[in-house]
Amino acid sequence: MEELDSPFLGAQPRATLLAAFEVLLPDARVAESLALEVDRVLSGQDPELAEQLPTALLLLEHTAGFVGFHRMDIGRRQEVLKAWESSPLGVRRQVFQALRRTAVMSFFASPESWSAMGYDGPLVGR
Amino acid sequence: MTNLDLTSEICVIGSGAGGGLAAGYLAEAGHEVLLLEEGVQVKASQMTQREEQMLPLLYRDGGKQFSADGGVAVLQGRALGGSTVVNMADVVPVPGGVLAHWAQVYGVDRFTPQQWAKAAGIAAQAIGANRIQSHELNRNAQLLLEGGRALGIAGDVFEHNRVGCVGSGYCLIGCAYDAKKSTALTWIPRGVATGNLRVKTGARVSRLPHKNGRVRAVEGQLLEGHKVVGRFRVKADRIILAAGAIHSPLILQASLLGGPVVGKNLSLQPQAPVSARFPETVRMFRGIPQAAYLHGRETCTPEQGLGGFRIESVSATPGMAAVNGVGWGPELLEVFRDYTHMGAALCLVPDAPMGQVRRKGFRPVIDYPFSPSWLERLREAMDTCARVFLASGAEQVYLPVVGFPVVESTTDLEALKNWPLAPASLSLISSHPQGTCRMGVDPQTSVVDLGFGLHGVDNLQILDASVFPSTASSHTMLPVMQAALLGLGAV
Repeated sequence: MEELDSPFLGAQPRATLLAAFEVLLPDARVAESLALEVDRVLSGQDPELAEQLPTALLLLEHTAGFVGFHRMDIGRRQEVLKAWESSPLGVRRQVFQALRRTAVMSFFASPESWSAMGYDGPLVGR
Repeated sequence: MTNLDLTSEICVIGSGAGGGLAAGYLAEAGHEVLLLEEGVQVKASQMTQREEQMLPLLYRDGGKQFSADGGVAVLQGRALGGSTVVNMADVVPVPGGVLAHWAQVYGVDRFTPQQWAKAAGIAAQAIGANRIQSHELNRNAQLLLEGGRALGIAGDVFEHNRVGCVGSGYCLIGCAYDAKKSTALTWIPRGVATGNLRVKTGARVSRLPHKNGRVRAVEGQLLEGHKVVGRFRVKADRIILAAGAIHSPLILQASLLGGPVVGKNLSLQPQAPVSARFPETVRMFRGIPQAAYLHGRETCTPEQGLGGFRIESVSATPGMAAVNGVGWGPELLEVFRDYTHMGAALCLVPDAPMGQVRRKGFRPVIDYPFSPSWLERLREAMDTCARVFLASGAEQVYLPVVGFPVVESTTDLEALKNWPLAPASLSLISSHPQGTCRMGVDPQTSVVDLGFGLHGVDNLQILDASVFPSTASSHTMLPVMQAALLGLGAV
């Protein structure tokens, strides 16, 4: 993964984020670049708000199974996230939704995704 | 670190529908006013129509403010003009049934319905309110009305405060054409033009020191982005608090003001987004995003206030549309391949005051439990919305409920009756938080008196949606402006 000058996330949460993005994104091929972009954006956010994502990643990494989440194969990661999506534990559903929202916003806000869906993008500057 | 000491006759905190109006109105009346806004001024030329750029600039928490259990996304503007910069520009006054409810149940009866109506007229004129014309409806709005007609559910088009709208569709991330007449384009420049109004952006109010029933100053931090770069203190004779229903109570709580119910009685009026795929091209992302609504299932009585539900056409840019659904992974891409064929609507379900706001540092904790009766109305609203879409020709309907199958016929909706609905297992949005500094006569059960003044304090008024005893209307911009004008003695 490319290095940022001043990444917000440490190595461990970045690895967990990338592992989650590979499952949650509509196209796993862009997981690395979008995870990097999320890290870049976190640096400019309200620090208290930005801290919520590493906390969610920490929870996912260490409570999803005997091995860390990012070390699981992709099939197992899919099972874990699907289970968390409809977990009886509210906190797991919250973690899942926070990661899902982060993933899909970063994907669909990217111009690279637009042509496939017929969205012609902003009108300003044309 | 900068330390700024300022003085003004009047200090207004917050620049949205209430604060922006108050600042402009009072400046035109000849008063010296200082307006404080936590966010920045974003001009039309800076509106890029890109979600990832505009959400952090215009929204509180970049649009990621949630209730504590993750159940409801609470969307609020954080820029000069507040939520009037990012709202759907719907102009809907407080209905007569709500005014009767407030008088009957809460004793809020100082102002007559005629005075509320007069205030609505003044505010509507100031923001350029006009009725959306039929030729301005995009296909998404037309399909909602067609479905409603097929099922016998009454509908209408909105009044809005766009003037010279080009129909770009980016209202939720700021108008690049200055067509949406927010307070940043109406009341605030009117005030500045008098020479009596100064505006300070990047100023986050933290507390209101007070003594002997008077607020002595307004204190807070100077911000650059989210970084604290200094502190300020404003000495003013009169304070108007208009930081919205989430942050006004926080400022009072930090100041040990507001009495036992400050922060309580929160209404969020959550909305559930339902989308559908049509065989025809819809292109919901162009045109006025919210132009039509179905009100045939809405109720409004003196006994209950606003109830039932309404369904409103809505559209969003791709990122927000994806966030507000529940899909993910490659399957979501399959859905979005038909984005030009998709339509959407919001099920707006008025709630009883049942939440609260608490402080954690400078941040709010929003507690919002779903009540069983509200959940039943939500089920009914989503069921009705799906039927409306099917009646207007949709091939598939997507409910914002985790795991719920795609709806292709009305029989598929049977499962909704018993489907579990819990926080963070369905997608809900709130754009109209209200009620946390409730108006009333008793300081034990309310925060402001019938003149909008804080109980026991003689120089502080609250002029925002926090004062409403219960949900004021399906949309809160005009009701807040009505309340502000009444509180200022303009009527």
